[in-house]
Amino acid sequence: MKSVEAKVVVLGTQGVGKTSVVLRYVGNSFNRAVSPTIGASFFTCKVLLDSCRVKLQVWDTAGQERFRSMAPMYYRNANAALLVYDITSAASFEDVKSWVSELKKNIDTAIVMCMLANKCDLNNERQVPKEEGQEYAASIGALFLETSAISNEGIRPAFLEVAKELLKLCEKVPNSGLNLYETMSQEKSNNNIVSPRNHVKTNFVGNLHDGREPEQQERHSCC
Amino acid sequence: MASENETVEPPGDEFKTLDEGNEPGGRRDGFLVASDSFEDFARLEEAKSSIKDRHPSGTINKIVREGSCEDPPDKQDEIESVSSGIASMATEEQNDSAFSDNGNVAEQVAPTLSASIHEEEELDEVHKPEWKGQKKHVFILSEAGKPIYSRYGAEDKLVTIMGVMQALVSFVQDSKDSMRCIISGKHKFVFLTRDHLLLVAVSCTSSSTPQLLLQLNYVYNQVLSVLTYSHINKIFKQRHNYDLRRLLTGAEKFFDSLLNLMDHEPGFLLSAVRCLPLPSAVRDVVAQSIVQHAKVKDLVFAILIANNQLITLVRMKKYFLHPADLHLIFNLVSASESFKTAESWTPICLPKFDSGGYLHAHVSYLDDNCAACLLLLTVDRDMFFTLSECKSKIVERLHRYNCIEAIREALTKYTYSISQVGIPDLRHFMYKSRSTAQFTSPELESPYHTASEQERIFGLYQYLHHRMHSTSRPLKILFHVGSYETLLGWVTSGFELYAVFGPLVTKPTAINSINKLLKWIKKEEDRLFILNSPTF
Amino acid sequence: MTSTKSPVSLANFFIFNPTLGPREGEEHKKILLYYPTDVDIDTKIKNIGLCEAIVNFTSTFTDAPCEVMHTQKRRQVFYQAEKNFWIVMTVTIPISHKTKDGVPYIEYHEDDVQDSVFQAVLKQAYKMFRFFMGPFSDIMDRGNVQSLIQRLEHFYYRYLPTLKLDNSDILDVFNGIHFLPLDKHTYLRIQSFTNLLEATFSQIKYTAFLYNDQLVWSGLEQDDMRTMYKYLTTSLFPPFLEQELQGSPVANNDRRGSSVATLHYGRYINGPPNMSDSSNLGKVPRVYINTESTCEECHLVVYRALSATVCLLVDASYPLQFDFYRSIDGLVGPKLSVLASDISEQYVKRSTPSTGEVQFKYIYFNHMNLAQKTTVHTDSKKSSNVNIPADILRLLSDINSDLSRNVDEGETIVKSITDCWVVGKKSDQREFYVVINQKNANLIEINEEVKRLCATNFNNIFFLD
Repeated sequence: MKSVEAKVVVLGTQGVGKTSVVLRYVGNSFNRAVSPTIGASFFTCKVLLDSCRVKLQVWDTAGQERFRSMAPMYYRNANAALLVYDITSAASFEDVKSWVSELKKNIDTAIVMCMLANKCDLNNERQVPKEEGQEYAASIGALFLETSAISNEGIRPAFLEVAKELLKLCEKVPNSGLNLYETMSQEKSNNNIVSPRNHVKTNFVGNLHDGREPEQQERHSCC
Repeated sequence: MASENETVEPPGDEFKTLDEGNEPGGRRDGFLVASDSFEDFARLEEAKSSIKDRHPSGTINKIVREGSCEDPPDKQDEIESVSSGIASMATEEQNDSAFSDNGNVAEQVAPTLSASIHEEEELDEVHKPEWKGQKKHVFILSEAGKPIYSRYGAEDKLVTIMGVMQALVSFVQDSKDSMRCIISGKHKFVFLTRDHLLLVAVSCTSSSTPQLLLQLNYVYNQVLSVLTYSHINKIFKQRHNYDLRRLLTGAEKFFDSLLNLMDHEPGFLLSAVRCLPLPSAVRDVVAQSIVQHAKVKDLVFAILIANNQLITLVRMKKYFLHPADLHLIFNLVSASESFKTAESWTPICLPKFDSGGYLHAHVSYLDDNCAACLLLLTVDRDMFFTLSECKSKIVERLHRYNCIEAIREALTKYTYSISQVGIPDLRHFMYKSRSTAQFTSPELESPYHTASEQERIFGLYQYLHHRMHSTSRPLKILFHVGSYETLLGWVTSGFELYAVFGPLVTKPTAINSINKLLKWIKKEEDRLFILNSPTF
Repeated sequence: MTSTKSPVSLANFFIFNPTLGPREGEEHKKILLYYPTDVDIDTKIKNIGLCEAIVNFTSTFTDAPCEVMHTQKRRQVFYQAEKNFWIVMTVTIPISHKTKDGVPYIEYHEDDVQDSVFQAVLKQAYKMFRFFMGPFSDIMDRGNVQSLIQRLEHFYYRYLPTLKLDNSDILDVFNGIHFLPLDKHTYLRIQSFTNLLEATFSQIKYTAFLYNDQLVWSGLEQDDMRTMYKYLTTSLFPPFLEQELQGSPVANNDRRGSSVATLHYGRYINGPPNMSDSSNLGKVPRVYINTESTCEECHLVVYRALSATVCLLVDASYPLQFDFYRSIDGLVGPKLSVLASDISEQYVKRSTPSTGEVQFKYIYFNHMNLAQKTTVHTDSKKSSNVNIPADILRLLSDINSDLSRNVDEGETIVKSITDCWVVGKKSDQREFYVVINQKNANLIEINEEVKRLCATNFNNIFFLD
């Protein structure tokens, strides 16, 4: 089976739910009192496509102003950027736009961009109409999904879409920085989800506990 | 008639003559900077004009240069992008600024101060009794008088009172003097001016003025730890009126937790670090594991901590950590839940080490079920993956040697009970080895088991410490018989000891007890202190 | 390289009442006194504005009045003497010139200036004014702002230069009185003497009796006596004694008209300087006592024979005339001269040094009767003659302020960095401080030493331990 390894950076203003989105995906959990990220947290996860396994190294960055100067460290070699805003905050949407222009200015290589309009469960407090987000995403050639970490909406599809785009990018653009390689392992078809805990932790630790194949995987049926 | 006494006197004779480094728990080659923060502080005040002294900058660059010639991290880039951000904010801010940019606030405010305090009656926090009743307020404001942080109440509702503080300070500055403190009854108002920032404590606790200044200095260091001195300096040089809260959002909790910590944790007062009591064999394996598996270029410090106690510290040769910096690390870890969810890569400035730049910290907990947190600090910001691998190997080895189990075990009992010391008259004590800047102290037990009693006993320790360490009239011994307890403070070149007895203890018994105590500490020093100083 | 320390000195001293100039542009009306005088009005207004601002600022957090402000170079002490009347005294912090790595710098000795001491000095300054001029508000009520200003200037311009701030210490905090212990018999004779005086002259409301600088008997309220004692011992007696030493008239034997012409040594200190010159009634100050309650106004007549002094507080409504002085002189002169020489016999016996070389110095103070004793100081003139190093003397005030803040009873034993032992004890309203300079002593030996000392010197006083 083929494997692709890709770096993903999650960007957006503080409080839009970047960490919650990531934790929902890798750990399938939600914690209302998740504490602000200091610097950046590192996660790994896998998306299994029909023909390929996409291994994602996710940098969940801190949204606070003071860490903004650190961001280049994380997006410099990224293959994909998840741009998260909060639909109940117009300011956070504006901030996503400034992230986009910063990325365009500073990144030469091709990058998959995916906008996540988060907290879509709070529709009655919405400040950013879905169409506006969609239009903007289209204008910059980014994917667009409405998500909710609370109600687990749109998050799996988002990672799946990103993985697919990364695969495409890898195949089409030779100098994308992505490497496609063959792995020989026979996937144990454990369809789903190990304990959330193990996912939250990075695979390095899991690696050592048992000599088994470290990475856990998730299978998605392609739509 | 003295025959009976001769056996117990002079106090701890055998220890008295020992040189620094030979006291129980002491060593010549510590890994912590052993200078006393109080003395440090006095020196700072003297050399106040010299900014260089206060912000020894460049350690990081030195390490980078020593380490390799390749690719020094271009810090310039980062600062560039920040300052462009500031420029864009400039326009929006000009309107809402409370004070005009051209400075002379004192002139505007001072004559009418009395009136201005009472203007915004309904809006201000100032008029809420529960706000007024807080025992220790701490405020941070900019040189221009802009609120940056208040321990209690929302800063933006304290604009007026903070403006007054700034006005008072700059008024005094106008006559080439500097404000230190104001005293009203039990209240102390203490002011600390640093470049671009003004820190104010309003306290009715038993902290003395120098102690409050020390605490404010910690708060200032916490600001530096988050932003670095260079960054703050750059920002305020560009925009005198900058609202620093923008850059500190999310960091308030560090100030809050630091202040809470200082209210009961003696380490700050003593300028010393508490170690997790641990069999020395275990500690050695932990240190060796780190030395073996984290021998990586540009790694400056590897620090393992748990519950604000140090388990081990491995350092790059030639470099030492100041206890004040270690306290900031303790605070960072204890205030950040987010480190528990994932490996993190965090910039942290250690002001005593180098206030000019960030070290990059790989932060992770050893194990889901173990409160020990490992920090690997480097000057190379691209080292995350290397360090992540180091960490895995370290953890693997610690598991193999059952060290994690041993640490977990040690953590279940908080520190130790005074009853283990076996001296019936002794209620509690704090012992600091001056050469290693480490201290040990048993748990607070009955009668000091309630919050108010703990506050009171901490206040007594503050009193003792204050008198012993007075800058102009320092003491060697202080023996105080009060209504509820008897206190003994004893400072030698090697150690500091503060002990609490019942009120009826006789002097010979007290002296006898501390001699026994010193012997006990000597016997236990391997467990209570870190006596070696491993390097990479 | 260290230079000598500069002394603590008075930077300024001012009195203001914020209610007198509430409107903008009227700030100068708040100022009632400003010393030194050669300061421009803007600076005065600014400094008073700052004080007001500080008072208001602290009141945001506490109802306790503002007491002290520390700056690097100065110490400012606040005292709200009467409602809305603030007295502020600013003193300079001693400095010394030092060099570090060849660079000269100034070191400020902030710890040399102790709040409790200078707060006490400021309170004394107010009480002394009130003793001679009455409360601020009474003066305002009787006259106007201008009359208050005049009195303040009249008094303080003379008083302030005499403060001796650099020699202020724990004795200013106690502000106590040296008593002369006498045997019962002599004491009763003195009491019957003053009773006789008060019975004979109904205008005399109160009397006080001193021998040298020591108080023997007083009918005044303690606090008034304390202020009067300070006045007598620091301002009245010293110049008088100096004058006597320089050989002005000795015995008052120049008497006529009296059938029983007795030789005696009595003469007025406050009163007619010469009993044969009826035209010169001398200067007799008015004083205000019991100001907290009834506020009585009196003439303070002071009469002395040999080393004995009697103070007569005469109802101010009674016009002092030469005849009155003459009859007092006639009655008091001979009796006082006899009493004085009798006391002196006892006095000499008592003051012969009993212990020879003493290794210790002590200060004792009793809050109940204001009794004070010191062997730390060589005299009671607040001179710089002190038997212990300055830092050790300050250590006494440190211990005193700790003991007065925290406890009713307590004991503190410290060993200084110079290996000097200081013991402070407080119990039953009494405070006792001993300085023992025995470098090699240990805590227990010192404790034994202090016990012995208490037993021999203060066996009549109960101490804990």
